[in-house]
Amino acid sequence: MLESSANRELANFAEIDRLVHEPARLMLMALLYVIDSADFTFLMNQTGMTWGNLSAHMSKLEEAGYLEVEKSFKGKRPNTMLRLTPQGRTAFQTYRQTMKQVLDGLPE
Amino acid sequence: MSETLDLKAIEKRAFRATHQDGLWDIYIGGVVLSMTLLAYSTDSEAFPFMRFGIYLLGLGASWLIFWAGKKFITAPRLGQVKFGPQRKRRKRTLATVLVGIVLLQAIIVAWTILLWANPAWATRLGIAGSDPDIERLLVATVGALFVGPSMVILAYFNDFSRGYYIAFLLSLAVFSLIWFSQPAYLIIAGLIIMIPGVVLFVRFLRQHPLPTAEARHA
Repeated sequence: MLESSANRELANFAEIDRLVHEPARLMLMALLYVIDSADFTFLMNQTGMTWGNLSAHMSKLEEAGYLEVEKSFKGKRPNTMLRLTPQGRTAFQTYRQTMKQVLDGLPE
Repeated sequence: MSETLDLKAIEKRAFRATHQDGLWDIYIGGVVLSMTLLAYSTDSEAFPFMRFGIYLLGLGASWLIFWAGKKFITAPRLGQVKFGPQRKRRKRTLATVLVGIVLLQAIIVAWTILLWANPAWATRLGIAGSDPDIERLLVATVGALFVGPSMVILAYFNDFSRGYYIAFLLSLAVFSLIWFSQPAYLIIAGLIIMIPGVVLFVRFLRQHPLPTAEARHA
């Protein structure tokens, strides 16, 4: 009985979304989760990431369908805003719940 | 676990980042310094309209510095951000509360003017000020209450923590201006508000250099 319960809890680890779990992406997703949208410069300022690093993580999130890119023009300047998709929001919420379940059961 | 709190902190930090350029402080300081011109009142003044014109010019210049600073200096360095529906709700609530306060203030001002124009009404209502000192104290208190709470509400809804000491300074300056009839208090308050803003602005420029072209056009 105890063993099966432990197995069930260990199985929770397998449910963790690795794409969200990576610290830099987790930071980005948390930030984009609480705001509506932001451009590269704002995200770089808030997270302290370099342009290359941020770009690489953004591409992965976009490929997974967690992020949408909105390109427009502000006057003559191109303006790119990044926003979490509903799928991305759900993925982040699920990640939080899973982590809560996994970590809450751990002894001090 | 304190995940909810952490997310709130992330949002708050992101929002507060938009205030770290010191431009609000510079703008409010500029407005207070412009008000000083109105506070100078001499009976023999020949050009009251010119004084009012310079005051409006000061207000315009303060706004221009704020607008141009946000558009051409802060935005390219800090980046663009749109906040979620919760912030928009807060903004709407703030606007509603401020409209309410302005209406209340307008009613108080109109009522005061009416009573000054008709001292008989004040006597009949039993609120005629026999002691000019008490009357001035009342006006000074009402003046301080006009500016202070509005600024506190603005600071609260905008998570603008420096707004609280600005509110205190504004209240104190308006009270002192009326009570002591000395515009120097407005100048001091304006400078105390503006100088930290300038310091923050310089710090902001140092901490946020212009991003590379690829980041700007990413």
